[in-house]
Amino acid sequence: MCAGDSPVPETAVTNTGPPLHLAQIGLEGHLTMFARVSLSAHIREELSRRGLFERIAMTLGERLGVERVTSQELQAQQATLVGFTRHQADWSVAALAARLAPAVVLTDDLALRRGLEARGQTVVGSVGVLIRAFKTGRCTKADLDTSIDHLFDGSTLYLSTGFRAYVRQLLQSLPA
Amino acid sequence: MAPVLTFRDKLEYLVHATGRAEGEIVAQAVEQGLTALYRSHVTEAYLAGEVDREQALSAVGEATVAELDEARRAVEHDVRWGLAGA
Repeated sequence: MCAGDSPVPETAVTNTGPPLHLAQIGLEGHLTMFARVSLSAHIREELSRRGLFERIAMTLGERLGVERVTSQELQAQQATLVGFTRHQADWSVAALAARLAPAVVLTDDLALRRGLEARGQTVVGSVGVLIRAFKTGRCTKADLDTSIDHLFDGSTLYLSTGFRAYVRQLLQSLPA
Repeated sequence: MAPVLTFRDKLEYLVHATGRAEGEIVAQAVEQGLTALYRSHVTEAYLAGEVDREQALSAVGEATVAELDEARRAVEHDVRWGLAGA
């Protein structure tokens, strides 16, 4: 459906959501728009449990980095993310973001997003990746419309179905 | 494969399991279903700008509206970020 390979020189740390949701609609290849995608061993485990890590690893190749996060780093994030998230995997994402200072953190989790944005991190979800794929010529406007539909229909991403119409409305003004 | 339960199957199960009258259970089902449909419709209308925030607050509550506002901001940010790519 979408093709092309024009990597944006940006680095990303990712949570489970975006690679999972993009893989569920067959578009994990869009992650190669990043020069490097880092994820914690916790996130690798989550993707492995869903049978997706090997697929993501094969897609990203040398762009993928899997990093161990120490218990001290996790504890530090647990303290700063109180009120946002209680999940160790989320703390590991925040720890990696603090250590690597990536251009962007990828997550579809609103609570983690809020916590990371509160500390000034740029956070983007699967919708942003799909739109960036269009903007960088990896897919057509028609492909983008289809992939947005599939994201809301075909993945486990939770957003009210009202968002599909809302996103379509936001994208209406884009050239075909 | 598990058999598909009909409306009648479910109603009979609930009548036996709860000891409540059939009419009472149907009334509760209609009430709950209507509430769910109403909330769903108001949510979508709020996102589409067809219902204002005050109306949405009274219909679905502060927590849901706050979550929708946050999700909307996140989507708007995603769109801006996506379009900013060279």
